[in-house]
Amino acid sequence: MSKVFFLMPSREYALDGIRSALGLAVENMYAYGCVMYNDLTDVACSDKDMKEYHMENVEWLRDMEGDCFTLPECNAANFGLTQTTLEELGQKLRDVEYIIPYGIMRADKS
Amino acid sequence: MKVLHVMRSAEINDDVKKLKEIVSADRENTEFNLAVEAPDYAKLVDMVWEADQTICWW
Repeated sequence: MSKVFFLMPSREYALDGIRSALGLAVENMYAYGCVMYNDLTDVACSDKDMKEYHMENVEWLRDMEGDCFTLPECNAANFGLTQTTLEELGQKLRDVEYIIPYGIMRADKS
Repeated sequence: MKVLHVMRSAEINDDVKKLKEIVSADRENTEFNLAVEAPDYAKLVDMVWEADQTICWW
């Protein structure tokens, strides 16, 4: 089975990236994601139901033998994402077939 | 393992540099820069086919 890792540097696309990782996990891939920079509280906590929805997505991803990591500690505390370091993330990337920076900015920074 | 690193930005941040360094270790690496006036996309396609893995960094 293929291994895929989503890197999510963009705040706007982080939750969509988690959902995309889940989609590949459902298709029998080992799928992982990592929120690179942003506090997801701003994008997902305004609605309690939406926060629970996103946390359920992460748990579902784990049930499918994937995981969702975070570099910012706040996401581990608020959303239950797995805390990791940049060095650990780099080592994880060496073990996967496909690395997908998800939702990155255009070349003109827009 | 041949790894192709596609660089979208002329200036990459320290995190990308670090990740690229770790992923590149003990591997055959090539690089293609998209942040130029006229990228050679035909060459990029050939490089993608030649590589075992392609990573597009931000």
